[in-house]
Amino acid sequence: MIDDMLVIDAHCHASPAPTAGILKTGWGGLYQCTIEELLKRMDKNGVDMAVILPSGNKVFPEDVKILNDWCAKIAKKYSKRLIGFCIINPLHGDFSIKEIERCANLGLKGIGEITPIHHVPIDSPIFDPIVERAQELNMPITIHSDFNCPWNTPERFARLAKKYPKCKLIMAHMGMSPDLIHYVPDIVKDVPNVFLDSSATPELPESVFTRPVRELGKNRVILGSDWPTLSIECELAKIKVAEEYGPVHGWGYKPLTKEEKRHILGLNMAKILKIEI
Amino acid sequence: MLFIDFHVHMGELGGIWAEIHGKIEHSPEIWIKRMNKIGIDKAVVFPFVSGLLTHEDFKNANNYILQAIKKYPEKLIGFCTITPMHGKWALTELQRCVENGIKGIKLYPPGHGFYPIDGAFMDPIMEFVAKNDLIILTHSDFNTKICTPFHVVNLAERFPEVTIVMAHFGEDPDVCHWVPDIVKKVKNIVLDTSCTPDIPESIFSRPINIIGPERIVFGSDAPTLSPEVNLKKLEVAEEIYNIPKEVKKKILGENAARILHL
Repeated sequence: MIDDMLVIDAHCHASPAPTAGILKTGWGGLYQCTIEELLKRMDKNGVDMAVILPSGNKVFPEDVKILNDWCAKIAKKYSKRLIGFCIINPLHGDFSIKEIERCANLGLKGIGEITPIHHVPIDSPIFDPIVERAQELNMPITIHSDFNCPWNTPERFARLAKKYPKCKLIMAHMGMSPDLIHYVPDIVKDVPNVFLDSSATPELPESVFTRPVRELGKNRVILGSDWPTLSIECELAKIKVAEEYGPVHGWGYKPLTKEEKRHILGLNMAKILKIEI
Repeated sequence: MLFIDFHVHMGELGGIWAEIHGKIEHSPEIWIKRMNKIGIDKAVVFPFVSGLLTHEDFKNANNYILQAIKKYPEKLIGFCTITPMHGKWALTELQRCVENGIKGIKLYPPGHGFYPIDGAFMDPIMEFVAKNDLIILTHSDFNTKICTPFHVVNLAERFPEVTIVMAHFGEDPDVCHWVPDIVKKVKNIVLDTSCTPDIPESIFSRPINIIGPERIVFGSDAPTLSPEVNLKKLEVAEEIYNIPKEVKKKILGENAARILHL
């Protein structure tokens, strides 16, 4: 809890084999972590719950199954702290649809993170059957977004969201660009099924938190850290700055209110995941 | 611990941008209040110039800095902003600013003409900089094709006697990890941590191991970005990825003091 508010980190990565092969050091040679380390860091920072987006090899269907089985297991083991999402590879066609159904039955609550590694534009017909099934099963999908990655841009995101207005789509990283993040609210204004996840966003407190909340309403921004590579501490510091500083520092918005903070910290994600508070 | 913020914008953001985005003035008084609150001793300050505007616009923006450093010489170090797209006028403006106390130039290629930072037209500016012992502080961005870290390396190799402080680590969370490797052999490049991804290991810890502790300076890109958040990034790096106190002192202020001859 922070300031007596429920805190859900919508974006954490973990893997069953943090010391195996490429995962030993992860992307960029960076340090990978265990679930126990995550829980400790959550405790330290007042984070009540975290969404686990499994990391690992997704080339073969067998690998995907291993990751999802593991995620279901730890989500069950730490059911009061962790929420598990399942991972799929859009190039696996029918297998992916079956896997989503299987994972829903295992207690996994969503799908993600869909990253650019598949080289499939997120609004392409290849994704359609997957998103359609997710919509039917009421499973939110967390998708990596990046203005500078042609197949995962916020614009494509909006197009996908328009096709499936009942599917909750979580836009991780808000397009990632320090120069263009300011315009994200305009891009997703007409697609209320898109939620903005603050993980891996630039250090622009007003553009990450205040502006989207004022332009889109307090229900659409959620806290994410992209643990372990990125830093929940920095995300929480951004919120603190947004609460403290007002119009003089940019777009002319008054500081973030307590109620808006409550929604960002945990209320919005709880609603998406249908968690009873 | 001496704390110098190497990257702060100061001035008025006006004109057509104010009509759309609202008027901002980041005055010395507002900034110094925030400095005092955070514990920052000195800051390198330079203008806002929101586009390839006229000579007059650049001059007014630079004047704001000249006035600020005159008023608060013990807290603020001034850099001016020019663009090679203004040809010979840029050099006369640079001369004027040097005569009025600025210590370096802030370059912003994407916004001030979308020019390649290693282009030949940079040479007259770089020669002036070398002759007058000024510092170059430049924006870098892997995704803006004209000022990637690779471009900055090209420029730095042509002028090894000029200290080039490269801001933002190329700005991109997927590839910022390898920036130290890219600049390793080019000893006159110093990395400025402003507007970098929130990856404590890649921005603070790993670079120290690859390029050593003397080539990194703390920057915030205030007021739009946050010194508080960047400081928190450094704290996390200290705590989880181990940064010795001696090294933290260098990053926070000693390196900047050396580069700026303070």
